[in-house]
Amino acid sequence: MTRRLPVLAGAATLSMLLAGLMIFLYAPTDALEGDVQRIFYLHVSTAIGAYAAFSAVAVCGILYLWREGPVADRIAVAAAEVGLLFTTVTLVMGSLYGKAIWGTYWTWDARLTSTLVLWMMYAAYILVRRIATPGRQAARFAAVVGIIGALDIPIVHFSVNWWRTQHPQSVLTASGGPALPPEMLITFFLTMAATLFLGVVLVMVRYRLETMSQSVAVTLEERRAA
Amino acid sequence: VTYLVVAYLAAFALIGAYVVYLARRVSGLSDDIEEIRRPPQ
Repeated sequence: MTRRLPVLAGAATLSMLLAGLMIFLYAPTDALEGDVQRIFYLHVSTAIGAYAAFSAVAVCGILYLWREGPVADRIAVAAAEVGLLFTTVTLVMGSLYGKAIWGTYWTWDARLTSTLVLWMMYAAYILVRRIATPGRQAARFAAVVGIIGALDIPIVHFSVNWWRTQHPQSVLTASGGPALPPEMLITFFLTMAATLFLGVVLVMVRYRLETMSQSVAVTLEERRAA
Repeated sequence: VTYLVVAYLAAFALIGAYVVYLARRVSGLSDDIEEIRRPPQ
């Protein structure tokens, strides 16, 4: 896996560059919102990437509590960081999109607030791992936080249907099919694929780093004790 | 257009910062591996 990582990282960078070209050169300008609508492509893609990453944290958390395997715990740590990164990107881009369209960076509507709660839950996940006694205890505490945090994913996703929000409803899952022209849809799906690919590569790199850190820490401890 | 440019610059700066963080962790790990490879005194 180690030898393939640089190749995968290069491919992820290239795919993001291609997505950028599609967003700025291929996708048409929105008739209502103008050029600022191009924020949508990465804003929504990183949100979906965050859903996937946090779902992986929850699944790995359940597996860890069940079997206590180190692999599940390492994947969870890696996915939590990448999910937090993607949620931060979603919030920052969304905030700027909001300022351009609504005239405000932030409003306490259900979608924005539940997304902020999701961000806080996984920031807490990372804090728990740093504060708790390293090893089994930190992994078990974090697994519980990771599972509870994932309960917020459906709330974030369906908040625009369940409550009246400033944030618009999904244009992709609208009744009667996606409410976007084909060029915008192609650009969106390519950006989403590139973002998910980047997320998987970042998780792989972070997983490898976690594996090496743990093994180096054990060897150093043995060496110093000897 | 300003919001669009700032949004994408911020997004890539955040992703870039995380990549730099990973690279620094790898660099720190390399120092530890060096220490392991050194013969014990």
